[in-house]
Amino acid sequence: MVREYLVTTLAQDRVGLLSRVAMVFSRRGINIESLKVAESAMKGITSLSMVVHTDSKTIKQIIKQLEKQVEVLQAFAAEQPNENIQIENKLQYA
Amino acid sequence: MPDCKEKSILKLASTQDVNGAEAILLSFLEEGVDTLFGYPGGAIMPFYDTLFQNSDCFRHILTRHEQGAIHAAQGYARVTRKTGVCLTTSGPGATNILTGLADAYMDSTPLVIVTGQVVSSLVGTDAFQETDILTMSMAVTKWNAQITNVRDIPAVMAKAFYIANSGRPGPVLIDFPKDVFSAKFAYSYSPCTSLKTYRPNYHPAPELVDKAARWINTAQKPLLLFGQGIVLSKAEEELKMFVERTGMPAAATLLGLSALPASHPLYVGMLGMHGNYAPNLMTGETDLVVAIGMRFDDRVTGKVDTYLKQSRIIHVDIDPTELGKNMDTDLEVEADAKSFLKSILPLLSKNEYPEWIDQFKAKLEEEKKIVIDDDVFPSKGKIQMGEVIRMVSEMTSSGTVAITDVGQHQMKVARYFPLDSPRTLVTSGGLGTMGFGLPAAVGAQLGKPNETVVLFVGDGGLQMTMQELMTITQEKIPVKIVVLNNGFLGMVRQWQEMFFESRYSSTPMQSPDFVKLAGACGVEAGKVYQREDLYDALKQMLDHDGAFLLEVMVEKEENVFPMVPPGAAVTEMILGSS
Repeated sequence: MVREYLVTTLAQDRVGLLSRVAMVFSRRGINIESLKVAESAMKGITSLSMVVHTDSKTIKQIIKQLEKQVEVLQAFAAEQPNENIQIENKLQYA
Repeated sequence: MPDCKEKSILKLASTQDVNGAEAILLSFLEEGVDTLFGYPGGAIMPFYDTLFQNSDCFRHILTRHEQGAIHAAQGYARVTRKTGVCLTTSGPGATNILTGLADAYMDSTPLVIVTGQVVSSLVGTDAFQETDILTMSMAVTKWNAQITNVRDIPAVMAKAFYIANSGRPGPVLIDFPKDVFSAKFAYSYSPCTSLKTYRPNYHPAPELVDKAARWINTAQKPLLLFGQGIVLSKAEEELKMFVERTGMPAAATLLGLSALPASHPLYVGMLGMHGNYAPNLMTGETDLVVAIGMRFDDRVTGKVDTYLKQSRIIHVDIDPTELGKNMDTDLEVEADAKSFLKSILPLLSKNEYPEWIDQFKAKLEEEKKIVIDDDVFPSKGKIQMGEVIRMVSEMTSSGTVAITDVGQHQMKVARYFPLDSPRTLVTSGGLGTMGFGLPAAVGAQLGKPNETVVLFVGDGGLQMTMQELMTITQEKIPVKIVVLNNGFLGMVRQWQEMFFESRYSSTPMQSPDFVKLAGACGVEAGKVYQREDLYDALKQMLDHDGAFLLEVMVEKEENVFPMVPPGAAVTEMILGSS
C-alpha cells in the first residue's frame, strides 16, 4: 500500500551529494515531493529531508540504498500518519 | 618491476615537491599497482608524459578503444583479485568506458578509473572534449569524485582504492582537470583503512550464526547456493570445509563457478535459466536453502513468486541492500562470506544426505541422456559448441583460465568447461555485455601470465571489440581465441525460434574472414569446418607459441538447453523444445 514517508538522510556534505541521493529515488520512479537540505548539528554532516509516496517494501530498500552511498552516515524513514487516523483523532477530540 | 624502487619517483617524492601526475603514479606504487590499461588523449596528456618518464615502474597496455581498456582491467582484476586500473581522457574517452563501469558495478569488480578532464577554468563551459562524467557515471560507480586541488590527490586516491576493494567491491572513478596533473605540492601518502560514513560489516552477528547452525544441523534436505561472494572474499577453502562438514549439495551461480571444484562430489551444478536440471528442480524440494554471496538474480530465481516457497532460506551477503531485495528470506545475515563460514564451521555437526544426493544424481542422469551427451559427444551433423568446449577443457590443465563473451557459447562454457581452480572463469554476468570477451582475455592473460588463457567468443561478440586483436599483437599477449561461428546472434535467434515463431529479425549476421582479419592484425589463425579436423586444429592452437585465433564453423541453429522459459518457475525447466 502506498503511504507518505518522510525520509531523512544524514551525509557528509560534498559536491554531487544531492544528485546521488536523488538518484536512489529517481531510478525507482519515485518523485521527491518536497526537499529540505540543512546543516545538521554535526560538523560537516548535512541533513536532507524528503517527502515521498511509496510502499513499505520499497521504502526499506530505499533506506538501505541510501545508506549504501559512501557519503551517507545514516538514513531513516518515518511514516506519515494516515489520513483516516487523523480524521478519527480529530473526531475524538471534537 | 624490480628496478622500480631504485630509480623511482618514490625517491623524488621524499626530497622535493611532485606534480599531480607523479602523485597519481606514486599512489599506484603504494597500492601495489604495476599494470595499467588505457588510452591517451588531450586532457590526460600531462599524465601520460609523466608515465613515459616512469615507464620502468609500470606496464601500460594501450588498447584500441577505451571500452577495451576497462574490460581488460576487469579481466585483470577478476583473475588476480586485485584492483584493476584504467586511464582515459575526457569527453569521448570517458563516455566510452560507461559500459565497462556498469558491468563492473553489476559484477562487483574492483576498479579505479582515472579520467582526464578539461582544465579547471573551462569546466562547465562545454569546452572541447568536455563531458560531465561525474554525473554520467554516478549510477554505475560505487564512488566518484573530481580533484579540484592537487593536494587532495593522495587522500582521494587512497580512499578510491579502499572503497573499490573493500566490502562489496566495485568501480571508483576519479576525474582530474588537466591543470591538476601539472600542479606541484609536497606529497605524502597514508593508505585508507576506514571511513566514518562507509563501514562494511564483515562479521556476522553471533546470534544469527547460532540460529543458522541450528537450522542447518536439523535440516532434512538442505541445499547450498553459492555466488561470487566466495571468490571475492577468498573463501574457497572454507566453502569446501562447510560443504564436506554439512554434507549438503552445493550449486553455483554463474559467477560462483570455480569457487568449489566442479569435480567435488557434493557439487551439483549451476543454477539459473541455462543451468543444470538437478539444482534448479531441487529448489522445489529442499527444506533449507543456505545462500552465500549471491543475490537471487532473476536469471537464478525464474518466477520469483514461486521460488523456494516450501523452503526456509538463510541469506548471507556483505551488501545489506541485497538482503530482502529480490527475495524475502527467513534469516538475513549481513557478513562477508569468509567470515560467516569461519564463524559457523565450529557449530556444524557432521552430516550426510545420501538419499537426497541420489535425487540430484538421478536428475543429472536424465539431463545427461537428453541434453549433455548430444551436446558434448555428438556423432553426426555439424560441429556443436559443446564438443569444442569439452575438447578444449580436456586438452588443457586445471589452472587454465576460460574467458567468455555473452550468449549461447557463454552458457555452454559455463556448462561444459569444468572449473577446478579458483578464479578460472571470467564472464560478464549481471550486465551481459557482448564484446566483453576479447579485451577481458587480454587483461586476464596479463594477470595470469603463466597460465593458458582461452577465450570462447561468438561471431557477433567478436565483431563488437575485434580491434583488440591489434593490442594482442603489440603487447605480445598469447591468448587462445576460439570463435564459435554460427552466423547468427545465437541466443536472440534461439528466443526468436522459441517465442517469436522463428521470425529471425536482425539476427542472421555476416562476418569478415576472421582468419584474414587475424592475419592482418598479426595473429596466427586457422579455421575448421569438420568434426574430424577439430582435435588437430585445437592442438595446433594450444601448442602455438603466442596468440592464436581458431574459427570453428558450428551448427547454425543449435539451442541451449535445459532452459527455464522466461516468466516460468525454475521447477518448470525444460530439457528440449519438444
